Amino acid sequence: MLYPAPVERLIAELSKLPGIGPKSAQRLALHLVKAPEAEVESLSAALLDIKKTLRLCGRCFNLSEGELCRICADPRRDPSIVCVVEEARDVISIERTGEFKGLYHVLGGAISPIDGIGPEQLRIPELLRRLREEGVRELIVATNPTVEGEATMLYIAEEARALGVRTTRPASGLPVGGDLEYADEVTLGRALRGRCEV
Amino acid sequence: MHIRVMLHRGRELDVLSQVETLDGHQSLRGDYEAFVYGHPMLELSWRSLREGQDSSLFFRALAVSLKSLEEKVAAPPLLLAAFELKVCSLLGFRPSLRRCSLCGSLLQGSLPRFSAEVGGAVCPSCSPPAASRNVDPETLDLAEALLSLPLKELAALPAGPDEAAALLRLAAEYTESHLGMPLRSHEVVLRYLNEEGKRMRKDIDEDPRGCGPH
Repeated sequence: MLYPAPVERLIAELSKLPGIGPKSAQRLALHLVKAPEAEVESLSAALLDIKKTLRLCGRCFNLSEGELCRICADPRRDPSIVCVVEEARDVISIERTGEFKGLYHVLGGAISPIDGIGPEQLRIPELLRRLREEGVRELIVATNPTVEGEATMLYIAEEARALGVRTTRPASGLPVGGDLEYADEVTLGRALRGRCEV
Repeated sequence: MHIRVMLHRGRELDVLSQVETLDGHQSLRGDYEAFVYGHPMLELSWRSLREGQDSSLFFRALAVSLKSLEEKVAAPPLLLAAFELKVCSLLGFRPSLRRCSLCGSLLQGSLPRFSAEVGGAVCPSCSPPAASRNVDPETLDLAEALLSLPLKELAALPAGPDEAAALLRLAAEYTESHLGMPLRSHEVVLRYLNEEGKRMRKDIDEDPRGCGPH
Protein backbone atom coordinates (compact mmCIF):
# COMPACT_ATOMS: atom_id res chain seq x y z
CA MET A 1 0.00 0.00 0.00
CA LEU A 2 1.68 3.22 -1.17
CA TYR A 3 -0.83 5.74 0.21
CA PRO A 4 -2.52 5.86 3.63
CA ALA A 5 -5.62 3.64 3.79
CA PRO A 6 -8.25 6.47 3.39
CA VAL A 7 -6.54 7.70 0.19
CA GLU A 8 -6.30 4.14 -1.19
CA ARG A 9 -10.01 3.69 -0.45
CA LEU A 10 -10.87 6.95 -2.25
CA ILE A 11 -8.77 5.89 -5.27
CA ALA A 12 -10.56 2.52 -5.35
CA GLU A 13 -13.98 4.21 -5.22
CA LEU A 14 -13.13 6.78 -7.90
CA SER A 15 -11.79 4.02 -10.19
CA LYS A 16 -15.30 2.56 -10.32
CA LEU A 17 -16.59 5.63 -12.21
CA PRO A 18 -16.96 5.31 -16.00
CA GLY A 19 -13.92 6.61 -17.91
CA ILE A 20 -11.77 6.86 -14.79
CA GLY A 21 -8.70 4.61 -14.76
CA PRO A 22 -6.34 4.08 -11.79
CA LYS A 23 -4.07 6.99 -12.80
CA SER A 24 -6.94 9.47 -13.14
CA ALA A 25 -8.43 8.22 -9.88
CA GLN A 26 -5.10 8.82 -8.15
CA ARG A 27 -4.90 12.35 -9.57
CA LEU A 28 -8.47 13.16 -8.48
CA ALA A 29 -7.89 11.68 -5.02
CA LEU A 30 -4.73 13.73 -4.47
CA HIS A 31 -6.55 16.85 -5.68
CA LEU A 32 -9.25 16.23 -3.07
CA VAL A 33 -6.60 15.69 -0.37
CA LYS A 34 -5.23 19.15 -1.12
CA ALA A 35 -8.63 20.88 -1.62
CA PRO A 36 -10.17 23.04 1.15
CA GLU A 37 -12.48 21.15 3.51
CA ALA A 38 -15.53 23.23 2.48
CA GLU A 39 -15.06 22.23 -1.17
CA VAL A 40 -14.83 18.52 -0.31
CA GLU A 41 -17.90 18.80 1.94
CA SER A 42 -19.84 20.46 -0.85
CA LEU A 43 -18.88 17.65 -3.25
CA SER A 44 -19.83 14.97 -0.76
CA ALA A 45 -23.17 16.69 -0.04
CA ALA A 46 -23.89 16.90 -3.80
CA LEU A 47 -23.18 13.18 -4.19
CA LEU A 48 -25.46 12.24 -1.31
CA ASP A 49 -28.13 14.63 -2.56
CA ILE A 50 -28.36 12.74 -5.85
CA LYS A 51 -29.33 9.54 -4.09
CA LYS A 52 -31.60 11.23 -1.51
CA THR A 53 -33.63 13.58 -3.71
CA LEU A 54 -33.46 12.20 -7.23
CA ARG A 55 -35.98 9.65 -8.50
CA LEU A 56 -37.64 8.65 -11.76
CA CYS A 57 -40.67 10.55 -13.01
CA GLY A 58 -43.81 8.50 -12.39
CA ARG A 59 -45.06 9.22 -15.89
CA CYS A 60 -42.10 9.31 -18.30
CA PHE A 61 -39.23 7.82 -16.22
CA ASN A 62 -37.01 10.85 -16.78
CA LEU A 63 -34.86 11.96 -13.83
CA SER A 64 -36.97 13.97 -11.45
CA GLU A 65 -36.96 15.63 -8.05
CA GLY A 66 -40.68 15.11 -7.45
CA GLU A 67 -43.43 12.72 -8.47
CA LEU A 68 -43.40 14.26 -11.96
CA CYS A 69 -40.39 15.67 -13.82
CA ARG A 70 -40.39 19.36 -14.80
CA ILE A 71 -41.36 18.48 -18.40
CA CYS A 72 -44.36 16.34 -17.45
CA ALA A 73 -45.43 18.95 -14.88
CA ASP A 74 -45.27 21.82 -17.42
CA PRO A 75 -48.84 22.64 -18.59
CA ARG A 76 -47.48 24.29 -21.77
CA ARG A 77 -46.22 20.97 -23.13
CA ASP A 78 -48.39 19.09 -25.66
CA PRO A 79 -49.37 15.70 -24.16
CA SER A 80 -50.66 14.40 -27.50
CA ILE A 81 -47.10 13.98 -28.85
CA VAL A 82 -44.72 11.65 -27.05
CA CYS A 83 -41.06 11.23 -27.92
CA VAL A 84 -39.53 7.88 -26.94
CA VAL A 85 -35.83 7.86 -26.04
CA GLU A 86 -33.47 5.21 -24.70
CA GLU A 87 -31.91 7.12 -21.77
CA ALA A 88 -32.58 10.25 -19.70
CA ARG A 89 -29.53 11.95 -21.27
CA ASP A 90 -31.29 11.76 -24.67
CA VAL A 91 -34.06 13.97 -23.26
CA ILE A 92 -31.47 16.67 -22.61
CA SER A 93 -30.11 16.37 -26.18
CA ILE A 94 -33.58 16.84 -27.69
CA GLU A 95 -34.49 19.63 -25.27
CA ARG A 96 -31.36 21.52 -26.34
CA THR A 97 -32.72 21.74 -29.90
CA GLY A 98 -35.74 23.72 -28.63
CA GLU A 99 -37.79 22.09 -31.42
CA PHE A 100 -39.90 19.66 -29.44
CA LYS A 101 -42.82 20.73 -27.27
CA GLY A 102 -44.38 17.37 -26.44
CA LEU A 103 -43.69 14.90 -23.63
CA TYR A 104 -41.11 12.12 -23.37
CA HIS A 105 -40.93 8.46 -22.45
CA VAL A 106 -37.58 7.04 -21.32
CA LEU A 107 -37.27 3.32 -22.08
CA GLY A 108 -34.17 2.63 -19.98
CA GLY A 109 -32.20 1.07 -22.86
CA ALA A 110 -32.80 -0.73 -26.14
CA ILE A 111 -33.73 -4.28 -27.09
CA SER A 112 -30.48 -6.21 -27.19
CA PRO A 113 -30.82 -10.00 -27.27
CA ILE A 114 -27.06 -10.44 -26.97
CA ASP A 115 -27.33 -8.83 -23.51
CA GLY A 116 -30.49 -10.79 -22.71
CA ILE A 117 -32.63 -7.63 -22.99
CA GLY A 118 -35.99 -8.16 -24.64
CA PRO A 119 -39.03 -5.82 -24.73
CA GLU A 120 -40.10 -7.07 -21.28
CA GLN A 121 -36.96 -5.65 -19.65
CA LEU A 122 -37.66 -2.12 -20.93
CA ARG A 123 -40.46 0.33 -20.04
CA ILE A 124 -42.46 -0.64 -23.12
CA PRO A 125 -45.56 -1.92 -21.25
CA GLU A 126 -45.71 1.46 -19.45
CA LEU A 127 -45.46 3.24 -22.81
CA LEU A 128 -48.30 1.19 -24.28
CA ARG A 129 -50.42 1.98 -21.22
CA ARG A 130 -49.77 5.70 -21.79
CA LEU A 131 -50.77 5.35 -25.43
CA ARG A 132 -54.05 3.71 -24.38
CA GLU A 133 -54.89 6.10 -21.55
CA GLU A 134 -53.46 9.54 -22.41
CA GLY A 135 -54.94 10.24 -25.86
CA VAL A 136 -51.57 10.30 -27.62
CA ARG A 137 -51.87 11.16 -31.34
CA GLU A 138 -48.26 10.87 -32.41
CA LEU A 139 -45.34 8.85 -31.13
CA ILE A 140 -41.85 9.91 -32.20
CA VAL A 141 -39.45 7.03 -31.67
CA ALA A 142 -36.05 8.67 -31.20
CA THR A 143 -34.03 5.61 -30.26
CA ASN A 144 -30.40 5.61 -31.38
CA PRO A 145 -29.79 4.70 -35.05
CA THR A 146 -27.92 1.56 -33.99
CA VAL A 147 -29.07 -1.97 -34.87
CA GLU A 148 -30.53 -2.35 -31.35
CA GLY A 149 -32.15 1.10 -31.37
CA GLU A 150 -33.78 0.46 -34.72
CA ALA A 151 -35.09 -2.94 -33.68
CA THR A 152 -36.60 -1.28 -30.61
CA MET A 153 -38.21 1.29 -32.89
CA LEU A 154 -39.67 -1.47 -35.11
CA TYR A 155 -41.11 -3.29 -32.12
CA ILE A 156 -42.67 -0.14 -30.65
CA ALA A 157 -43.98 1.01 -34.06
CA GLU A 158 -45.81 -2.29 -34.56
CA GLU A 159 -47.38 -2.16 -31.10
CA ALA A 160 -48.35 1.52 -31.52
CA ARG A 161 -49.87 0.88 -34.94
CA ALA A 162 -52.08 -1.80 -33.40
CA LEU A 163 -53.36 0.90 -31.02
CA GLY A 164 -53.99 3.32 -33.92
CA VAL A 165 -51.26 5.80 -32.93
CA ARG A 166 -49.29 7.53 -35.69
CA THR A 167 -45.62 6.61 -35.31
CA THR A 168 -42.74 8.64 -36.73
CA ARG A 169 -38.96 8.72 -36.36
CA PRO A 170 -36.48 11.61 -36.63
CA ALA A 171 -34.89 11.95 -40.08
CA SER A 172 -31.37 10.64 -40.46
CA GLY A 173 -28.69 11.51 -42.96
CA LEU A 174 -25.43 13.30 -43.49
CA PRO A 175 -23.86 15.22 -40.62
CA VAL A 176 -23.34 18.96 -41.04
CA GLY A 177 -19.75 19.55 -42.18
CA GLY A 178 -19.40 15.89 -43.24
CA ASP A 179 -17.87 14.50 -46.43
CA LEU A 180 -19.87 12.36 -48.90
CA GLU A 181 -16.83 10.19 -49.63
CA TYR A 182 -16.66 8.94 -46.06
CA ALA A 183 -20.39 8.40 -45.53
CA ASP A 184 -21.41 4.75 -45.21
CA GLU A 185 -23.96 3.28 -47.64
CA VAL A 186 -26.73 2.98 -45.05
CA THR A 187 -26.53 6.64 -43.97
CA LEU A 188 -26.15 7.91 -47.53
CA GLY A 189 -29.07 5.75 -48.73
CA ARG A 190 -31.29 7.14 -45.98
CA ALA A 191 -30.20 10.69 -46.71
CA LEU A 192 -31.20 10.23 -50.37
CA ARG A 193 -34.55 8.65 -49.50
CA GLY A 194 -35.32 11.50 -47.10
CA ARG A 195 -34.15 14.29 -49.47
CA CYS A 196 -36.05 17.58 -49.39
CA GLU A 197 -36.66 20.54 -51.70
CA VAL A 198 -34.13 23.41 -51.53
CA MET B 1 -22.47 -5.59 -41.15
CA HIS B 2 -20.22 -7.59 -43.48
CA ILE B 3 -16.93 -5.69 -43.92
CA ARG B 4 -13.56 -6.15 -45.54
CA VAL B 5 -10.64 -4.73 -43.57
CA MET B 6 -7.07 -3.99 -44.48
CA LEU B 7 -4.61 -4.48 -41.64
CA HIS B 8 -1.00 -3.44 -41.38
CA ARG B 9 0.89 -6.09 -39.43
CA GLY B 10 2.35 -4.59 -36.30
CA ARG B 11 4.83 -6.04 -33.84
CA GLU B 12 2.21 -6.60 -31.17
CA LEU B 13 -1.07 -5.23 -32.48
CA ASP B 14 -2.14 -4.85 -36.12
CA VAL B 15 -3.10 -1.38 -37.36
CA LEU B 16 -6.46 -1.04 -39.09
CA SER B 17 -5.80 1.03 -42.21
CA GLN B 18 -9.00 0.63 -44.28
CA VAL B 19 -12.54 -0.70 -43.83
CA GLU B 20 -14.98 -1.34 -46.67
CA THR B 21 -18.65 -2.31 -46.26
CA LEU B 22 -19.52 -5.41 -48.31
CA ASP B 23 -23.08 -5.81 -47.05
CA GLY B 24 -24.88 -3.48 -44.67
CA HIS B 25 -27.71 -6.07 -44.20
CA GLN B 26 -30.24 -3.28 -44.58
CA SER B 27 -33.23 -5.63 -44.52
CA LEU B 28 -32.02 -7.25 -41.29
CA ARG B 29 -32.05 -3.84 -39.64
CA GLY B 30 -35.59 -3.22 -40.82
CA ASP B 31 -37.12 -6.54 -39.78
CA TYR B 32 -37.67 -7.18 -36.07
CA GLU B 33 -38.09 -10.95 -36.47
CA ALA B 34 -34.85 -11.27 -38.45
CA PHE B 35 -33.11 -9.09 -35.85
CA VAL B 36 -34.21 -11.38 -33.03
CA TYR B 37 -33.18 -14.59 -34.83
CA GLY B 38 -29.91 -13.09 -36.10
CA HIS B 39 -28.61 -12.27 -32.63
CA PRO B 40 -27.87 -15.81 -31.44
CA MET B 41 -25.85 -16.28 -34.65
CA LEU B 42 -23.72 -13.28 -33.70
CA GLU B 43 -23.48 -14.22 -30.04
CA LEU B 44 -22.47 -17.78 -30.87
CA SER B 45 -19.73 -16.48 -33.19
CA TRP B 46 -18.54 -14.02 -30.58
CA ARG B 47 -18.43 -16.55 -27.76
CA SER B 48 -17.02 -19.56 -29.57
CA LEU B 49 -14.11 -18.00 -31.48
CA ARG B 50 -10.77 -17.12 -29.97
CA GLU B 51 -8.39 -14.40 -31.10
CA GLY B 52 -5.89 -15.66 -33.65
CA GLN B 53 -7.98 -18.74 -34.50
CA ASP B 54 -8.48 -19.43 -38.24
CA SER B 55 -12.19 -18.74 -38.51
CA SER B 56 -12.73 -18.03 -42.21
CA LEU B 57 -15.15 -21.00 -42.64
CA PHE B 58 -17.06 -19.91 -39.57
CA PHE B 59 -17.44 -16.33 -40.80
CA ARG B 60 -18.46 -17.55 -44.27
CA ALA B 61 -21.20 -19.63 -42.62
CA LEU B 62 -22.25 -16.59 -40.59
CA ALA B 63 -22.39 -14.30 -43.65
CA VAL B 64 -24.42 -16.87 -45.66
CA SER B 65 -26.80 -17.46 -42.75
CA LEU B 66 -27.41 -13.75 -42.15
CA LYS B 67 -28.03 -13.26 -45.87
CA SER B 68 -30.48 -16.21 -45.87
CA LEU B 69 -32.25 -14.71 -42.87
CA GLU B 70 -32.44 -11.38 -44.64
CA GLU B 71 -33.85 -12.95 -47.82
CA LYS B 72 -36.19 -15.20 -45.79
CA VAL B 73 -35.18 -18.29 -47.77
CA ALA B 74 -36.76 -20.39 -44.97
CA ALA B 75 -38.50 -19.86 -41.63
CA PRO B 76 -36.16 -17.93 -39.27
CA PRO B 77 -36.27 -20.60 -36.49
CA LEU B 78 -35.13 -23.22 -39.03
CA LEU B 79 -32.31 -21.00 -40.28
CA LEU B 80 -31.11 -20.33 -36.75
CA ALA B 81 -31.30 -24.01 -35.75
CA ALA B 82 -29.42 -24.98 -38.94
CA PHE B 83 -26.72 -22.39 -38.28
CA GLU B 84 -26.20 -23.59 -34.72
CA LEU B 85 -26.00 -27.28 -35.65
CA LYS B 86 -23.70 -26.57 -38.62
CA VAL B 87 -21.44 -24.43 -36.44
CA CYS B 88 -21.24 -27.18 -33.81
CA SER B 89 -20.13 -29.53 -36.60
CA LEU B 90 -17.55 -27.00 -37.79
CA LEU B 91 -16.18 -26.84 -34.26
CA GLY B 92 -15.93 -30.63 -34.14
CA PHE B 93 -19.13 -31.42 -32.20
CA ARG B 94 -21.40 -32.83 -34.91
CA PRO B 95 -24.42 -34.30 -33.10
CA SER B 96 -25.29 -37.94 -33.67
CA LEU B 97 -28.93 -37.93 -34.76
CA ARG B 98 -29.46 -41.19 -36.67
CA ARG B 99 -27.35 -43.48 -34.47
CA CYS B 100 -27.13 -43.86 -30.71
CA SER B 101 -24.39 -41.62 -29.34
CA LEU B 102 -23.34 -44.34 -26.88
CA CYS B 103 -23.49 -47.69 -28.77
CA GLY B 104 -23.63 -46.48 -32.38
CA SER B 105 -26.66 -48.57 -33.34
CA LEU B 106 -29.23 -47.23 -35.82
CA LEU B 107 -32.25 -45.66 -34.10
CA GLN B 108 -34.88 -47.11 -36.48
CA GLY B 109 -38.17 -48.00 -34.85
CA SER B 110 -37.11 -47.15 -31.31
CA LEU B 111 -38.22 -44.30 -29.08
CA PRO B 112 -35.02 -42.32 -28.66
CA ARG B 113 -33.94 -39.93 -25.95
CA PHE B 114 -31.75 -36.90 -26.46
CA SER B 115 -28.75 -35.89 -24.41
CA ALA B 116 -26.67 -32.92 -25.52
CA GLU B 117 -24.05 -33.97 -22.98
CA VAL B 118 -23.26 -37.32 -24.63
CA GLY B 119 -23.52 -35.95 -28.18
CA GLY B 120 -27.09 -36.42 -29.43
CA ALA B 121 -29.63 -39.24 -29.57
CA VAL B 122 -29.47 -42.24 -27.21
CA CYS B 123 -31.27 -45.54 -27.86
CA PRO B 124 -33.55 -46.99 -25.12
CA SER B 125 -31.34 -50.08 -24.65
CA CYS B 126 -28.35 -47.98 -23.61
CA SER B 127 -28.88 -46.50 -20.18
CA PRO B 128 -29.53 -42.84 -21.01
CA PRO B 129 -27.93 -40.23 -18.77
CA ALA B 130 -30.14 -38.56 -16.16
CA ALA B 131 -30.09 -35.27 -18.06
CA SER B 132 -31.58 -36.87 -21.21
CA ARG B 133 -35.13 -36.27 -22.40
CA ASN B 134 -37.61 -37.83 -24.80
CA VAL B 135 -37.32 -36.63 -28.36
CA ASP B 136 -39.64 -37.09 -31.31
CA PRO B 137 -37.92 -39.22 -34.02
CA GLU B 138 -39.26 -36.73 -36.60
CA THR B 139 -37.41 -33.92 -34.84
CA LEU B 140 -34.18 -35.93 -35.13
CA ASP B 141 -34.79 -36.54 -38.86
CA LEU B 142 -35.44 -32.85 -39.41
CA ALA B 143 -32.32 -31.91 -37.41
CA GLU B 144 -30.27 -34.26 -39.60
CA ALA B 145 -31.75 -32.54 -42.68
CA LEU B 146 -30.79 -29.13 -41.24
CA LEU B 147 -27.22 -30.37 -40.92
CA SER B 148 -26.93 -31.84 -44.39
CA LEU B 149 -29.01 -29.53 -46.62
CA PRO B 150 -27.93 -26.13 -47.94
CA LEU B 151 -29.90 -23.28 -46.30
CA LYS B 152 -31.85 -22.40 -49.46
CA GLU B 153 -33.38 -25.92 -49.47
CA LEU B 154 -34.69 -25.72 -45.91
CA ALA B 155 -37.96 -24.10 -47.01
CA ALA B 156 -38.98 -27.43 -48.57
CA LEU B 157 -38.74 -29.30 -45.25
CA PRO B 158 -42.04 -30.49 -43.78
CA ALA B 159 -41.66 -28.36 -40.66
CA GLY B 160 -44.51 -26.20 -39.35
CA PRO B 161 -44.17 -23.68 -36.49
CA ASP B 162 -44.32 -26.39 -33.79
CA GLU B 163 -41.66 -28.54 -35.46
CA ALA B 164 -39.47 -25.48 -36.06
CA ALA B 165 -39.79 -24.53 -32.38
CA ALA B 166 -38.83 -28.08 -31.30
CA LEU B 167 -35.80 -28.00 -33.62
CA LEU B 168 -34.70 -24.63 -32.32
CA ARG B 169 -34.95 -25.83 -28.71
CA LEU B 170 -32.91 -28.92 -29.55
CA ALA B 171 -30.24 -26.89 -31.37
CA ALA B 172 -30.09 -24.31 -28.56
CA GLU B 173 -29.73 -27.04 -25.91
CA TYR B 174 -26.99 -28.79 -27.88
CA THR B 175 -25.09 -25.58 -28.65
CA GLU B 176 -25.14 -24.32 -25.07
CA SER B 177 -24.05 -27.71 -23.74
CA HIS B 178 -20.97 -27.75 -25.99
CA LEU B 179 -20.22 -24.08 -25.52
CA GLY B 180 -20.34 -24.59 -21.77
CA MET B 181 -22.43 -21.49 -21.19
CA PRO B 182 -25.92 -20.22 -21.95
CA LEU B 183 -26.41 -17.76 -24.80
CA ARG B 184 -28.29 -14.74 -23.49
CA SER B 185 -29.94 -14.13 -26.84
CA HIS B 186 -31.52 -17.62 -26.72
CA GLU B 187 -33.76 -16.45 -23.86
CA VAL B 188 -35.05 -13.55 -25.96
CA VAL B 189 -35.56 -15.78 -29.03
CA LEU B 190 -37.43 -18.46 -27.07
CA ARG B 191 -39.66 -15.82 -25.43
CA TYR B 192 -40.36 -14.35 -28.87
CA LEU B 193 -41.16 -17.83 -30.22
CA ASN B 194 -43.62 -18.38 -27.34
CA GLU B 195 -45.28 -15.00 -27.91
CA GLU B 196 -45.58 -15.64 -31.65
CA GLY B 197 -47.06 -19.09 -30.94
CA LYS B 198 -49.64 -17.54 -28.61
CA ARG B 199 -50.45 -14.84 -31.15
CA MET B 200 -50.91 -17.41 -33.92
CA ARG B 201 -53.15 -19.59 -31.76
CA LYS B 202 -55.24 -16.51 -30.88
CA ASP B 203 -55.55 -15.62 -34.60
CA ILE B 204 -56.67 -19.17 -35.35
CA ASP B 205 -59.28 -19.03 -32.55
CA GLU B 206 -60.58 -15.67 -33.78
CA ASP B 207 -60.59 -16.48 -37.50
CA PRO B 208 -60.01 -20.19 -38.26
CA ARG B 209 -60.29 -19.58 -42.06
CA GLY B 210 -57.98 -16.61 -42.56
CA CYS B 211 -55.06 -17.53 -40.33
CA GLY B 212 -51.51 -17.80 -41.53
CA PRO B 213 -48.00 -17.32 -40.26
CA HIS B 214 -46.96 -13.71 -39.45
